[in-house]
Amino acid sequence: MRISTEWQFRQMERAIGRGTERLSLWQRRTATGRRVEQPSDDPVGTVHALALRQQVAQIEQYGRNIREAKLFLQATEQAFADIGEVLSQVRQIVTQGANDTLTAEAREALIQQVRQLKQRLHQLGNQRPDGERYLFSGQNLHTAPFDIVGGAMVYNGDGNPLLVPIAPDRNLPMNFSGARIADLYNKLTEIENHLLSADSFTLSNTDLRDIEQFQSEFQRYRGEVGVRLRELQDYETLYASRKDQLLGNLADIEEIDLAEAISQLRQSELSYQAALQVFSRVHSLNLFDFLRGG
Amino acid sequence: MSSFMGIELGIRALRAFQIGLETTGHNVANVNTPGYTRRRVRFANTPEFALSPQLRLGTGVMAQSIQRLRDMMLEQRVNTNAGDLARWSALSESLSAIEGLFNEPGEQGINAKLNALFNAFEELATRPDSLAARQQVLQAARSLTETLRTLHRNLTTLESQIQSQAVGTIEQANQLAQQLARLNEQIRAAHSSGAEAGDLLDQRDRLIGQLSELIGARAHYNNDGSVMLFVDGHTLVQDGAAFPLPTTIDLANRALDSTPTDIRIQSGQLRGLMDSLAQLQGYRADLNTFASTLITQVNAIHSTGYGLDGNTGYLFFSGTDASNIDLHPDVSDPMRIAASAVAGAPGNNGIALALANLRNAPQASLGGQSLTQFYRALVGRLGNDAQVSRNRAETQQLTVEHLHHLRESVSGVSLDEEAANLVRFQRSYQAAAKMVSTFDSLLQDLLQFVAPR
Repeated sequence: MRISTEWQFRQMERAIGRGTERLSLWQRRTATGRRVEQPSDDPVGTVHALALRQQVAQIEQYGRNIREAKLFLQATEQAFADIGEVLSQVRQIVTQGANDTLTAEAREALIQQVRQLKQRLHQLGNQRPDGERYLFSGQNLHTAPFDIVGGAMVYNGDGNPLLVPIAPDRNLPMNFSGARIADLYNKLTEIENHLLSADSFTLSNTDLRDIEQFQSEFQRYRGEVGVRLRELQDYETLYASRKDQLLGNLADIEEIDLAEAISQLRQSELSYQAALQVFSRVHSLNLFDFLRGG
Repeated sequence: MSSFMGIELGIRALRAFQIGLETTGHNVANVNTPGYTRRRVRFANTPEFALSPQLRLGTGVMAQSIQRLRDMMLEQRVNTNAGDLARWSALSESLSAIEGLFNEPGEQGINAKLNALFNAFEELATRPDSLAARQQVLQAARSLTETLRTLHRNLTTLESQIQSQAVGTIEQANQLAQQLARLNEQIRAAHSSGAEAGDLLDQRDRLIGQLSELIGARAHYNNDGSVMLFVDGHTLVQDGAAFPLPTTIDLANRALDSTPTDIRIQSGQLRGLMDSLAQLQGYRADLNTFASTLITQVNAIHSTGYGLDGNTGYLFFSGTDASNIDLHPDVSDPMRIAASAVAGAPGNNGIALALANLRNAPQASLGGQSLTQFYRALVGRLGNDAQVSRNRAETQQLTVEHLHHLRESVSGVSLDEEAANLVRFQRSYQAAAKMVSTFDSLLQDLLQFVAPR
């Protein structure tokens, strides 16, 4: 085929142009580490990558929600532990108080202890670990759950659950109703009265049994807190590995294989050099250069 | 038989080779001229001289004509394909610009901002009473609405740029058509005087090439070298007259409004720009559907909830689509964000949860897709369209290059060839000159022999 001079040059120009283009593509990819810079680089991959990014974002949010719920539940667990401590002290007092031979001073000391424990219970019930939210108010978050009206404790909360989204189909209640704390407080008032009236019979029968029931009830609450914390922990572990997996998939789509990129970069450098060499060789090849001016 | 016949023969040869040398010079000089068609001198022997019926003497050579080496069939194929290349390149460039506006996949795109908003709603569900969580919701929403509005604005700016580019293309084509009409006259005049107007024909072919690329025009060549040019059923150039294209675009039919029938544009840059406009408007319509669904759905849920101030009926977004979506003045105070489904229960998160659940909720207005799915599909479609048009442009580029190669192999100047011709004509000229001097010395011999007497 006849090759015109113009065509010869144009082809070499194009070869060099393509070489530069390819070289700069792999330089950029190696430098940024990104394979997909715009949707058209890999339309299917892009859609997949957007979905993966959404899942990662959602998992990260669930992670934050879980940490939040954990803090609240850990504070609740501490509160139940403290209430348990109050209960075991009350149980001792009831056992000691159900003794007809008790001296008046000893009895008075027990009454003082009960009053202190009532105060402690009130404090525990109305605590705000983060300085904002009451543990036991239910959804009436900003209202102190316990008031003393005429010596009796009333519960102002609504006892409704604070639901935390931790999975697409799971909203975990992170709080406990405070209604039973009020009952407990009023039970302590009864015990105080029975100590005052030295009613050893009621103390040793009804009161002791009631306190033991409260003890096992609050024990159960603590157990329930533990169950919820374990659930949170399980999700946290699940999300950590799921996130690694998703980020791995995302990297497969969006990022280059560095080894491949570097070898591509080397190759494009070589072919670019070759194109330049061919140009410098060919442009000196011309019949005019071989003809002596005659 | 004249005694000077030999000298005359030599001079005819000298003249012919001189023309050969000049044509070679013209070719060499135009080696870099785009659209130049190489010329070749056709030599022919002059009529014989009969000394007797048995003895016929040759009388030498003459330059019969200067040929312009061009394959008109190939020319038409080049033009058709160059028109298609211009179409796909224009579309590919526009789509690549649109892709750039979407900023996907990345942290600044709508996908990321939308997820940030849903995350903020979830954070709010976890801490419905928290001021920080509320401010985060407002910030995420503000950022999303700004991104949507910016994208909408940029798409509209790009649209008007493409629009004026399309009109510019038509106007340029109309100008070139007028030049071609004038050229037709000149070519015809040259033809009637019997000359082959090589340079005028080169210019004609260049103009036809440009018009094919701009509007996909088709040429019909007349015997006298003039052309008729058509676009669809419209005659753009006939003889010395140009009939300009109207500039009103009927995008749906990819046509120009004209009477009695519209002119359909099938190829060329103009078709590519029309396709770009239609695509752009499609993406923008989808973006608006997305934004209006977001506005409607979020407001429908939000307005049933209660702010920390205990009031209800607050709207979250204002606006109707991507062009004007914004935060509603109702929620200028973060306390008024309705996270709770129950009045006076700051710990209730019913509304915040419902808002967060919008992330994956199927929407009838989006054909059963969720907001996030719909947007992803939009980006996927854009990416796919951009990739397809880029591939079409690249394939078409190869076809056009191949055809250019074929054309160049017929019409392009080869310096090697011209160098060889130069040597050939130079040597021939030298030989002819030698011939003249030989005949001259023969004559001198004759004269010397005769004169002294």
